[in-house]
Amino acid sequence: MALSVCIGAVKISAGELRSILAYRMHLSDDVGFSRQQEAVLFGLRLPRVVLAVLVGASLAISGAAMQGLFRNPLAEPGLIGISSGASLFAVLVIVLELKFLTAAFGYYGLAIAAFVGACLTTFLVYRVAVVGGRASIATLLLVGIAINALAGSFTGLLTYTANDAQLRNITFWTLGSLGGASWKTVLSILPFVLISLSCLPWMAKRLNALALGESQAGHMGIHVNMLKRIVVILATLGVGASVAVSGVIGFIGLVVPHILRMAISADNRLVIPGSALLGATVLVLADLISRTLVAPAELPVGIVTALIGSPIFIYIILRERMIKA
Amino acid sequence: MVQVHQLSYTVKGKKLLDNVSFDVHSGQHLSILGANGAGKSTLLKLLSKDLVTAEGSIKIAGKEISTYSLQDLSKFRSVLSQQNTIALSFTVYEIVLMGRYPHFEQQPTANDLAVVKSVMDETGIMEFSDRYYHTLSGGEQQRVQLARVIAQIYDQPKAVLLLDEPTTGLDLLYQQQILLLARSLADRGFCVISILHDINFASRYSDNILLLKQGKTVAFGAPVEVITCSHIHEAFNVQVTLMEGEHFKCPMIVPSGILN
Repeated sequence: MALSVCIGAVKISAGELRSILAYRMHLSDDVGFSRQQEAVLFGLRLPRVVLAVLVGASLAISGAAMQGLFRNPLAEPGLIGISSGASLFAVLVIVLELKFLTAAFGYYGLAIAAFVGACLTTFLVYRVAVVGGRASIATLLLVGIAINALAGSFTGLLTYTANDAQLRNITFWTLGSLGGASWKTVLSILPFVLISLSCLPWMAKRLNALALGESQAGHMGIHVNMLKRIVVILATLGVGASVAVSGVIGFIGLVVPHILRMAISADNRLVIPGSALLGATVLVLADLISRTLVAPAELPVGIVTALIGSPIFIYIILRERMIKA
Repeated sequence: MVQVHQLSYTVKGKKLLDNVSFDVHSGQHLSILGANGAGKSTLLKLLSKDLVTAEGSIKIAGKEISTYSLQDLSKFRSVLSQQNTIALSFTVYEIVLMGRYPHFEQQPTANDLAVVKSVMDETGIMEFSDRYYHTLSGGEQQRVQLARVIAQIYDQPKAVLLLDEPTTGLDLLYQQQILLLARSLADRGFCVISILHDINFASRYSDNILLLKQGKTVAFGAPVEVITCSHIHEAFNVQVTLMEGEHFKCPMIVPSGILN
């Protein structure tokens, strides 16, 4: 994290960082740094790193919980429509240039629309999948795929009608970026991410039992339907808020829990909290790469995570095949 | 311990269970026998509260099953289901420890760990403790699952164990091991109810047998009373000959090879 705070278009050395912190904490009156460095650190770098921590942690922890819920190591939060719904609404705002949203919420109109989109889509997926008070996981998966495709087609339609400036905007948003970080964005997603991060680890034991099967979990005293509902809501809160401020950042939710499962154990009591930590670390590093590789310009961080993530994902699939063969 | 009185269960106008009554006491092993579609699994699902809304009554330890919550039941009643596929790569030890989940919140107590150890010893799976479940053979997997459900109720004085075809797909040695284990659990005071297909094994290792046909009771009682040529013919539509065992007092059957 310290590394990420210091490296960038404006360089800050370790000594200068120490000096800035000491000055700010009134430990020292020496000014061994420039005003510009201080402004960059507190106004840009620090909120960006904190945002990366929050977004990375909530994407990864929701991924871990989703994999437990779907009883499938290849599941990810996007499966139930969170990301595609957010994208659709974001693109809707960009292309139709909905003035009333920007008028009401200013810069955050887009984020709020994306969050609402994420929640609405997930709710729709869940409602359609519920039959007689029970949501079967297989149906949830199929409905998720269908709604994702539907949202994708609308997004495509809107993209098709967009002009050049809007297209750039859309591309940037769908590839994900932490470029919009400020203390305000951090504060606005903090409550949602914190709820998700603090509650999901409590579901770990129940998700372990669910790995044995739905009726088996029921025999162990677990209300499986309630568990499904809670996990879906918590994941939607965390991921929806993250996607709203950073766009779609792929592969963190899929790959991070997987690495932990391979490295330590499949026990969700370790995988779920561990995913939050590792997800935060991975996204901070990926963001560091994304803004230094072609500095002073920026690569969308989604490209970096996908570049690192896809080969790992293919490796995982091959490994699964070897085990099952 | 388990009292079933005039139990019926209807789905879409079809009676899957029709007026079934029986008692199982602590320390007894009841086997449920019957042809495919006789209602055995439906009965077990009602006993494990997977299914509700039936007519008649099921009492466990003197109380209606509907008055128990899932958590209450999970503390002294465990169920071995037929289908046991595990999605993620858990080790054998982790799976047996899951059996103790109803008894601890976040961290297992010393008692939980002790129970896991004794159960793994008794079921002979200690040697696979650190192996991944999906790398085991079918018989070994079944023993791990059995260990998990035994661990769930191991230290409960009045426990109920429901086994749905615990020996299906296993070779003779494993079948014998699992039924001996069921027998010894019953001797220790458990109330064990299992669905079996092998009539001779049921006769050898259970105290009572419930024979079902199309949801109705053909016979209920000790193996000597239930395993007769006419009952078997009625339930399975197969002609059999009864044999006397040399060293034990349970009826054994051999199909006589005649149709109808």
